[in-house]
Amino acid sequence: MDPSDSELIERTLGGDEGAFAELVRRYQSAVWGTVHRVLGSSSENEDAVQEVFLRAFAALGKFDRRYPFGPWVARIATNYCIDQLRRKRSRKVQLWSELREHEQERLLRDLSMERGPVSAGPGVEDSEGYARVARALLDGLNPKYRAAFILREVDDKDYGEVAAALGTSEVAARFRVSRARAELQRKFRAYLRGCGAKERER
Amino acid sequence: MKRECALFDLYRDGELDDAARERFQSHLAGCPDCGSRLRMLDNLVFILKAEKIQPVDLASRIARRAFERAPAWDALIASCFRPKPAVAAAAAGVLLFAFLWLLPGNRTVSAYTEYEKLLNEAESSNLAGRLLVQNDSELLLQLVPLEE
Repeated sequence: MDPSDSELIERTLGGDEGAFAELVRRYQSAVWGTVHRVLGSSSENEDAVQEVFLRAFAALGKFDRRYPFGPWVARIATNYCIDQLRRKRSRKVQLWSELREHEQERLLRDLSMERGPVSAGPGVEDSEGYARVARALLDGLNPKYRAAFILREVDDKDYGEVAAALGTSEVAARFRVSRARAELQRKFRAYLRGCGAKERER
Repeated sequence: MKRECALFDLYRDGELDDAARERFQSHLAGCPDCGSRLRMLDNLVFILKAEKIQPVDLASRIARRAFERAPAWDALIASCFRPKPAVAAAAAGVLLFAFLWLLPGNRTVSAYTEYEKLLNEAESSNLAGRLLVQNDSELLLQLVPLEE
């Protein structure tokens, strides 16, 4: 029978490197998901995943094993991503303007359509291109709102889980998701107005 | 913003009861704000969910790094600090006692205790005592006869 997380933690604290590797193996997909969804696709994601687990390792002695390990490590991952977003924010908000004009228009058109990319189904072509432009819309959101939005909307977590991952109350988690939705709508409209003005100029 | 628009999040989160959901759906049909927000979110979330994540197995590398950075003795120290309530409470007690005992203020307290004893003795000898501070730090007990 596979050892429990608690046993692996005990062995890790006793100096068993293999036990920690097994623990990482169990949760690395989840951490990859959080890092990728919150930070976006980047060559730095490997470093981010590694850093999350190194932080977890450093704090392992303080972890209360009466609670599950997964949400604890998810919280470390989310906090790490929020920190990274704060640091990189000034660079990230430039992304939208860095997009080529036809990419901007395509995203806005697809997002406004009654049956936008959804109608194309999961095998949608050029999903990487879509994701890139969709991320541009997310960039510039307050990192806390953005993380809450991703956890709730993309990872389908309930508000209790979102609150646990963010280390906040459920009320605050609801507020952040709601703010993120409203902010996205506001940005989306501003971009639409921008594109409309460009078309009128032509 | 219409009153119904305030229910957008509850609708989006599937937290409205059947009747309220139906009412909100009729509202959606006529409200460009909520309608476009819902479409935009649906499409955006679809795109984000369709993103392919290709995790690389980093487990062995991370574990090696962790133990390089923090060698076995470090883990051992960490294990010593794992919750052991009785030991922690005893250690905290000893530390607190040592700290309080070493505080300069505490010596003053014990000095006051000595003066209190003298004052009690003075009272029993029909004398009243007053504590005076001299040179900012020295305490002087002044004894005066009690008034009749």
